[in-house]
Amino acid sequence: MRVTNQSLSSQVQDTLQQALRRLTETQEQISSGKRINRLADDPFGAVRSLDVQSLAASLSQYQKNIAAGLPVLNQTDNVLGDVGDALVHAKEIAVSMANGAMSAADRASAAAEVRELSARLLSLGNFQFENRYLFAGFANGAAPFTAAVGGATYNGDSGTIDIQANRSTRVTVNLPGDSVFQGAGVAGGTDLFSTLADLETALTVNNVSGANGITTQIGRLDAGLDQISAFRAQVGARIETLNTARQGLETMQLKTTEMRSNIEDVDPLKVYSDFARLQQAFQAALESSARVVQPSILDFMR
Amino acid sequence: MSILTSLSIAARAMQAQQEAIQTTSHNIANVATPGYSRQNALMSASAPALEGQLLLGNGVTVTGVRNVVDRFAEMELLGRNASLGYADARARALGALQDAFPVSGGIQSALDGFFNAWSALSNNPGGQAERVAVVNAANALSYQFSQTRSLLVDGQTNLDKDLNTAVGNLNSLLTQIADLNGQIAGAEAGGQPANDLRDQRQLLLQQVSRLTGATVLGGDAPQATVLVGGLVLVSGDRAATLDTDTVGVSGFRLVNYTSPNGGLSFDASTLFSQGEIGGILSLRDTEIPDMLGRLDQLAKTVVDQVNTQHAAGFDLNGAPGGNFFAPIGAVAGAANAMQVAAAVAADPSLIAAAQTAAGAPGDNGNALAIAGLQNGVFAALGNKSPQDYYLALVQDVGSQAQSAGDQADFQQSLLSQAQARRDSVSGVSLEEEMTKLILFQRAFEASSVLVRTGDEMYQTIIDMVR
Repeated sequence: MRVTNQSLSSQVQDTLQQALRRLTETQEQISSGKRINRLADDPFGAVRSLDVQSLAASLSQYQKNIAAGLPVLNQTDNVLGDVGDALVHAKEIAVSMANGAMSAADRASAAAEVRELSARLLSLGNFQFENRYLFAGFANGAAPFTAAVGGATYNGDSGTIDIQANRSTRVTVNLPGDSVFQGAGVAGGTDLFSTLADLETALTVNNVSGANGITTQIGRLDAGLDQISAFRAQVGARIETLNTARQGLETMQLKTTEMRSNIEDVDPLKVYSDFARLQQAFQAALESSARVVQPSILDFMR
Repeated sequence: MSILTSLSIAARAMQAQQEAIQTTSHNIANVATPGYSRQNALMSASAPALEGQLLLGNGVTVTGVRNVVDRFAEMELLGRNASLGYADARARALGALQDAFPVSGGIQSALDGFFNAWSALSNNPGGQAERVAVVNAANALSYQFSQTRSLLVDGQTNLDKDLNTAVGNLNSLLTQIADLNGQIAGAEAGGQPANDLRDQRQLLLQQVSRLTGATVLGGDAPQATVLVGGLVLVSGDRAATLDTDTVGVSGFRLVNYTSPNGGLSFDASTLFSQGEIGGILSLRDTEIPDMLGRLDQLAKTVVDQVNTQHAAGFDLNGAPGGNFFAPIGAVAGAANAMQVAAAVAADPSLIAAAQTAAGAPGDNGNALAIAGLQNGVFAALGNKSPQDYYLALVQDVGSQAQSAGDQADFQQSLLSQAQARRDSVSGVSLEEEMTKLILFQRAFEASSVLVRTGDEMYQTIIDMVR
């Protein structure tokens, strides 16, 4: 093939241009630390990276959801513990007052103590956490229980508040008060408020073993304690579910970081050795070009 | 008589060497001229003269000056220019368009942000801050949609401007070619080729081919006929006129064609499918509208689905949910029309987070349902989730940009190779020219010695007589 001055010079230009472009591309990768700086660098990788980014955003939202739900459940667990304590205390009173050695006056004074426990139970039923009533169902903006003759009235609803714990799992983070405190919807459920009110009445009127007497109330208190334990177990299981979900999310979150880095980040070893190689190639191209372009027949004609 | 003949041979030889040296000078002078093909002074021995029994040589004459051209290499170069023009136009435009779909952030993260805001609202459905956050995330989403859409439309507008420039260039090239056709026909009437004018025309034809993928008819005839998709662009010394003054229904320029004799005039946009203009038109009229359509479809589906689910719920006052987004009628332009309904934007308590009509602040059922739309698949999106539908679009744009870039590089290297093949035949080599120069110079010197020898021979004869 005949070589001419123009084709020689354009070939030198092409070669240098190409070497310089590859060098610049590698330099961009080094300075950004990213293999994918624009979509066209690797469309498939870029899309996978976007997918992973979206997954990471969801994971962090699920973690926030759990972070919002867990304290509610923990608080519910505490309150149920307190309710249990109050019931145990009431039962102690009832058991000791059922003893034949106690006088009517003893029982009348114990009635005052039970009245206090009633008030305490009411305030536990109206427990507020982060300005929301724990036991009001959906209607958690207002106190769910108001005291009434012989017990309490429930003003809440039976709504169940779910949180999205991960893509496929929803966990209920509330217990409706009418079920917990009044046994609504629970097989053989016990109304704790009316139990305490009835106990107070039995103590006041000194009714030990008659109808609605202290003995009857002891039985109802036992049933009430079982009811509370059952709900506590339910709350405990939900806390466990959320903790498990959270651990899963944290593991996944770490993995997404790793996946994203695998897709996007440059392999420093490879990119630096590429850079050195390209630099050398560019240098060689420059030098050889200089030698090819320089000499001319004119140099030898003087 | 033969001394006189020798002298005249010497004189004609000096003349011929001078002509050859002039041709060589012309070659050297044009070593860097693009499109120039080297010329040769064609020397041949003059017809011999019969002197008595002898057929004696009669010296040299330059019978013509020809440029060295490989028609096949020139044809190949035209074709390569057409392919490169097409690939280059696409690579340039798609290289800019891909930035509408960033590799992080963009619509993808706005969609995530929007649905995650609903998820956050479900944690505290009565919260004012969470409600405002949902409205803000929706605003961010609609901003991203309209931003992406306007980047694509900008791409179309830029291509439209490029088309205007390209057609302007094409017109001027066609006029120049038609002029050269006329000049060449005139100059070659005497039978000698107009080498330099033909070189100029060939270079212009390459540019026309890069713009349109035009084919050239006529072979070695003095006048080249230029055709694109059956349209005659140049015929003889007349050029067709193209203009982009008319705007079509799409809101972009049409390519109007007026035939060389002015007799025909019509919209010829669809006939330009190659070269730079073909690349511009295919992106502007086919590929970008497709991207816009898919973007609009996604925006409309998100708006429709969110509105439907929103209407199934109840707001903080217990009233049924209205539209969350201002409803969008047509798919076309939907990405630009996405907007939070004015009532909701003004009063976020109208966000229907609840699934019951009680107006209870703790009811998050509908917020959960709307957050769940993120993973829903919809017939309007080809049974894909919004995210998968968007990612498929991104993947397509990325692949197009990538392959357009690769194509442009590939075509560039093919063009360089074709150019090298053409140059290896037609290009000027200084080494070659200098060597020839020495040859011609020596021949000239030798011829001048001939004259002196003739002169001395005459002198000898004159001295004999004295």
